[in-house]
Amino acid sequence: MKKKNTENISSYLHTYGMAAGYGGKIVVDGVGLYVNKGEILALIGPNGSGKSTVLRSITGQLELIKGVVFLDGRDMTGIGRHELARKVSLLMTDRIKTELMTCFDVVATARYPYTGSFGLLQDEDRRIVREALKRVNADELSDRDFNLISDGQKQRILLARCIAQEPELIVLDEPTSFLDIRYKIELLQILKDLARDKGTAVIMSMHEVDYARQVSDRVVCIGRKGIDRIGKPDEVLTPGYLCELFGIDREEYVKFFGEDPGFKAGTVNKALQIGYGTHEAGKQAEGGYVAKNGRLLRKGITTGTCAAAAAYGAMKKLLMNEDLERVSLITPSGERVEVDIKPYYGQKHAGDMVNIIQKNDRAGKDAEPVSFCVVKDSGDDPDVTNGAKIIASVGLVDITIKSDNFRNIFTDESHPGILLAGGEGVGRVTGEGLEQPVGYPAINKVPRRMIFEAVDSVRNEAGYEGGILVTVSVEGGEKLADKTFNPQLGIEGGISILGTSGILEPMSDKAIVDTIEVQIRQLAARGKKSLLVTPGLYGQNYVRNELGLSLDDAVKCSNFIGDTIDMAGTYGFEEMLLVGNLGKLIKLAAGIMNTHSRVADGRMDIMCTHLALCGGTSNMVKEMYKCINTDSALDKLKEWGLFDGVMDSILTAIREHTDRRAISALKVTVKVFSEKYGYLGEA
Amino acid sequence: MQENTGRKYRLIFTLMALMVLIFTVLNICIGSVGIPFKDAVLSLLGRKGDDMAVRIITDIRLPRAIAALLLGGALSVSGFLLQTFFRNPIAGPFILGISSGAKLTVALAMVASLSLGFTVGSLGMIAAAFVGSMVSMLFVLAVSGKVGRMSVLIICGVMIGYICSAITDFVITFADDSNIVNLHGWSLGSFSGTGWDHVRVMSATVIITVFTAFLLSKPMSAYQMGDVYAKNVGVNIRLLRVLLILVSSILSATVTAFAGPVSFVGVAVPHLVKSLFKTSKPLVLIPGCFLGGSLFCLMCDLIARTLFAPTELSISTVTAVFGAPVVIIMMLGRGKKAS
Repeated sequence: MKKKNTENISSYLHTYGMAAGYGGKIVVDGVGLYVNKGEILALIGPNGSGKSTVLRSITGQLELIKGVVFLDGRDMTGIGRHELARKVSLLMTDRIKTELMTCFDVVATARYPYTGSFGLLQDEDRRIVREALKRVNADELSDRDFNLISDGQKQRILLARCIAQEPELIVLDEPTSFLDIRYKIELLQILKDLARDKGTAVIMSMHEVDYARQVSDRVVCIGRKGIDRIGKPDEVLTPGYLCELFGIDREEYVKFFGEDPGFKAGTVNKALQIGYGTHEAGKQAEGGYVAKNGRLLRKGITTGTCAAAAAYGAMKKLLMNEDLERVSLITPSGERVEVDIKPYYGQKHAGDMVNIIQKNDRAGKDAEPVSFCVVKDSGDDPDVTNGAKIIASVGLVDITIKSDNFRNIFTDESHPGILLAGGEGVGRVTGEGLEQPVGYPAINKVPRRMIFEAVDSVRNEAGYEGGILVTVSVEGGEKLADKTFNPQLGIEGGISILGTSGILEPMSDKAIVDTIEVQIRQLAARGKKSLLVTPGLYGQNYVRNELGLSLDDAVKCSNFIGDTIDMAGTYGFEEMLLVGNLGKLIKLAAGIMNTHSRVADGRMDIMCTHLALCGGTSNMVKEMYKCINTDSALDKLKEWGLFDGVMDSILTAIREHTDRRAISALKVTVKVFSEKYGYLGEA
Repeated sequence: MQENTGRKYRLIFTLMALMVLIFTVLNICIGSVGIPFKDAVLSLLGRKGDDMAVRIITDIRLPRAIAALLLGGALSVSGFLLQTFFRNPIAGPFILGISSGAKLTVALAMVASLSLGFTVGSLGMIAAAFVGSMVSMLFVLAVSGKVGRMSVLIICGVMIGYICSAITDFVITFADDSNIVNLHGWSLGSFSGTGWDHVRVMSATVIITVFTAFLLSKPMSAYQMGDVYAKNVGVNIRLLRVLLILVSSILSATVTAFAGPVSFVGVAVPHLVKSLFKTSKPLVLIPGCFLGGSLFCLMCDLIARTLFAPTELSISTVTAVFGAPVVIIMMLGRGKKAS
């Protein structure tokens, strides 16, 4: 069974316009990096370029000079010490000197955030410590004095300490320096396993380029002037580029290695400004296309991404009077997209909100509300929202005012003072079971977070501390909504702002299954125990016209019959009635649970089989095999007088397969009809 | 394994507590007037016995033993806190000159009160000592901020000690009063002359402060791993540092206010206790150091009183004889390990 919604795959840590340094003196500026869960990010760069400074800054050891670090979607400065200790663990180059501490004791200090006020270890803590020691192959060091073991062993113990802290992110500063090859490989392999098994995100600085190439998913190169390049290790770490990064003389290189580093070799994409910002370069750097059925399709962006980009542009204009034409942003799936934005003229804040907007809060600055819009590009899989204008309007508000107008407006603990409202063309939730409470605008969680972060990053950059009202609206959204699932989902008055990945993958099966799931979940939430399912329009018409049933609570399952049966079982339904035409449902007789013709045809094969089973002659089978659709096959059966027998046989086979698929107490009934012959029977 | 260490700790704690009890009784019974154990117990219970013995025990020996017990423990815990703060086992209130600073301000307060005709109460004395120890402490911290090396800090501490002692001697020399003898005795360090009102104040101060230190054991144990890792697991380092300094200063100030400077207890006892328990866990060592310090001072005070009776030695003389070799052996051991 498919798990509910797949885990959100947005970047676990990302930085915006960060400057790092000591005592107010900037060492590295414009640091933009991100790492997803389960990924390893390697920092490469010459000595003194500021790798350690960056690592210390993103882990809260060092105060940021500029910018923001977002951890798990929240501004890190807003995360308390204890909570941070459960999220991030460190292995730094500082040598530690202990007194009378065994290796077990050293690893056990990582349990600090989890133990009580006297720090006493519970059995569970001891088990975790022992497990961490085992993971780094150091169980036998457990009782040894930490001071009396070798450097390589110490490094392993400190890594065990990191693991015992059960973090979501491990940050390591040159963990492999001073280790011999065996220990280097061992340590990096442990990190790889951690990333894979536990989904831990890993950021580490290292000098060994070859190892970085092997172990990391992405490398960030820090040069003399800050972050230089970022990308996949094979693309970035070309000999030519490394010479440039480390300032190696070309002749020296040739003399030493006996070959030319190939300064022109390797097509490396110069690192773009990560995060939000302008960029004059061309289109998406990588991954802008997806292969589907042997054809390259261009990816598009979600309404959520559009809204976040527009909000960013509007904020830049509002607070900093900058006119952006394009915003480059990292989507929650970790891909970079470039989005064109333009000013939108006309008041878009909802009528009753207008009066809380202040116009001259900031001294000397014109703070008229600003609106920007993005024309949605759905890529090569145009949906109804393709070409729609997604508008974000921002204005200053005094958040200390307690106003009744603040109803149904989103706020976010991590981004205090920012209010997010839905304007015209954005749907309003009227039913239970959705991500939003009733009455709120249909802006989903991930887009909400993207918008809050975009707005807050500009607010931080501008040093503005007051309140901001963001209103998202969609031009003509109300009309578009009729063509979407929204009316069935109980969302009225417009489309939804959604997208968990930020990117639209053409013909996304997952999106369809997700929508079916939302409907089933809602019905379950309303206490329904029986489910009416039709594959599509034919089925719906038949249900309404012939069976006389109401379609209000009917679920359209398209071709995903197996998935729908699964979900009905999972959400505790007791009965499921599937009504559809033979052309589709006959496939169930062979256990084909996704009835899309792309997956399998087999209609005539099944007909032939059952014909033969019911005494059809070889010649009949041959003739049957040539039929082009089920209706013509039924014609033949009538002709031979085998109609009822074969239909019975097929329906029995359908029942066997649906029964096998249905889990728990779910009882599936299938009603099959034909355009021409009407009701055929029930399985 | 966990079971075994737990049992071992319990055993050592029981033995130490027992020894403290035995030496308290010995301190009460032994002296220039010998009092049999039975009489001592009876008089403590307030029953019969001759007046003389009862008065010697309840007015002189018992408060003195309690002072040795409490102040010895306080001094040892104070030393342990400083060692944790500096992450160095040689740090201690006497070695770093903190006791000497306290001694100076207490002497000034005493002399001023004598010549101006008012009396300073026990709490006043602690306050004066606290001011002195904080001044020396801040000086040491300022130096440690500039130079990280422990040897420099210790030299600094010794120099502060000399300067403070010189000024104290100077003040005492020019003070004119019959109490000068007492003052002189105090400035060398002694538990004599402790009265019940002193005991009340010192027990309140010491018990509250040591308990506070005990509550800090968890962050202290994380702090032993260094700033980076301590911060990483969520320790508020700045706050912990301030608390360590405050608590250790109050403890050593209390000792100095009542007994004058007592040398080496703050370094030698924590070291011995650590070797005994074979751990550096503050949760074990804070109570361990307290009991160890009590025991050590009870023993030393017994020797100071009885060795050349009726002449009394200063407590520092005895603690130095036992404590200094421990410190020297410890430094040699560290030197060996380093090479």
